Amino acid sequence: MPLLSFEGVGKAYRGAGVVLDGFDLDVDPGEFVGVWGERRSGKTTLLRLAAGVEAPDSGVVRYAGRDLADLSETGRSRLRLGEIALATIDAPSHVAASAITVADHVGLPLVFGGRSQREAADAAHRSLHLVGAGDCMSAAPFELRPGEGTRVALARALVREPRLLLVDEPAVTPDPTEREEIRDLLHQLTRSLRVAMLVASEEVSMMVGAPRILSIGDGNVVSNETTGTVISFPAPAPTGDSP
Amino acid sequence: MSRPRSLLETIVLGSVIERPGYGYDLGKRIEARMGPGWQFNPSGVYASLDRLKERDLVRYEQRETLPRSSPRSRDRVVYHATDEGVVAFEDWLGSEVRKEPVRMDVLARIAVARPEHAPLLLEALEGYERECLDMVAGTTAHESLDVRPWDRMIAEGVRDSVLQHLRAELAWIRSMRRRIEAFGDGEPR
Repeated sequence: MPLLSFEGVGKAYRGAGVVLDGFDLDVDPGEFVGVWGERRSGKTTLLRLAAGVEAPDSGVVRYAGRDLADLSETGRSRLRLGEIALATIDAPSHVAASAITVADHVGLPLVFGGRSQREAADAAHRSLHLVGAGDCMSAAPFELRPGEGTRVALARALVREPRLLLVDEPAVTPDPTEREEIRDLLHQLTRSLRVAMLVASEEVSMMVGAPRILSIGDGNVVSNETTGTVISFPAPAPTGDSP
Repeated sequence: MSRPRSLLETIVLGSVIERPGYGYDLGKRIEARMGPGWQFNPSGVYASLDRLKERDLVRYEQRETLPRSSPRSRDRVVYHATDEGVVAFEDWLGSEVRKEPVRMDVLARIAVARPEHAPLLLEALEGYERECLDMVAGTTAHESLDVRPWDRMIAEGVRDSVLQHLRAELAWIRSMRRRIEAFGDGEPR
């Protein structure tokens, strides 16, 4: 059974038109899928649907066989504090402005999930070392360089030991070498932790080495895997008034 | 002066100058160095070596690789560059770079298609997009590149060229598709 599946999913926004139309996708446990598209092409929507943060207009999104729409809001939240981790790399401003350390910030999801401060701190240390950000432990989040911020965001997502990691734009650092290091780190984490990943980026170089790449935009999705379940649909005319 | 007669022959000659080797080894080296954008078929190396040999740009030596007693014993032919080969290669390196035609195959289809062919063009563009994505997926990742500083720098430069090209192609495919679809949405035919 696939870990994540989209079955005939449609999503449109007022003003932006159709983002996804009749979209099918299966992601197996431990699989790495790259999602490439220009800005505002629907990459983030795809990840937010997978995390159950947004609901599709039509079709079904399943995690481990369960329709996410059948879960309560609390149930979906619990899932996001555990098995599904959405790593949004642009740190929200309240985190940047807060006085907590990086280690506290990384351990926070576990504290929200009911674990002790001690357990959360130990797990945060392990997670930061895993992504090569052990040196940042005592820093304040606002002191981080973009590449370090990406690693810390990944550590915060991985601290929950998710089965599905959704990474939204890991290419925030302007340094191409650092971007490649982060891309290689993502592949390495998929292999070593057997975590399934959907990695969305507008940067083509972040897709290098991805066994499956989805190209997304204008309601069309094209995959390099012709035998996969992703197929392309011609984009219908934008509706403009969809929810 | 004898010269290589194709780009592949020149690259094979350059690889032999870099380090003498046998056909399979040369093919693997070229494949790793040029990346998927080159769409290189290693079997073409053998014919290129024959032609370079005919024009005395390379020479070969028979080298035994396994003891005669071994059932898998075989001679390998190791190719070396001749002095004339080195001169021809350096002459090519410094020569004027030719402007290559871009995406001729897909442009030719667009140039001669009529409005009723729009679905076929969209299909062709989708196939081309898949091919570009495949090349992105198959581009050699950082960790598997050569470790020697010069080789690494060259490999990164080649890979960057391929990725910049693919980025531009993918953006172009999207914009071309948008144009074709927008045309179908209302403009007079």
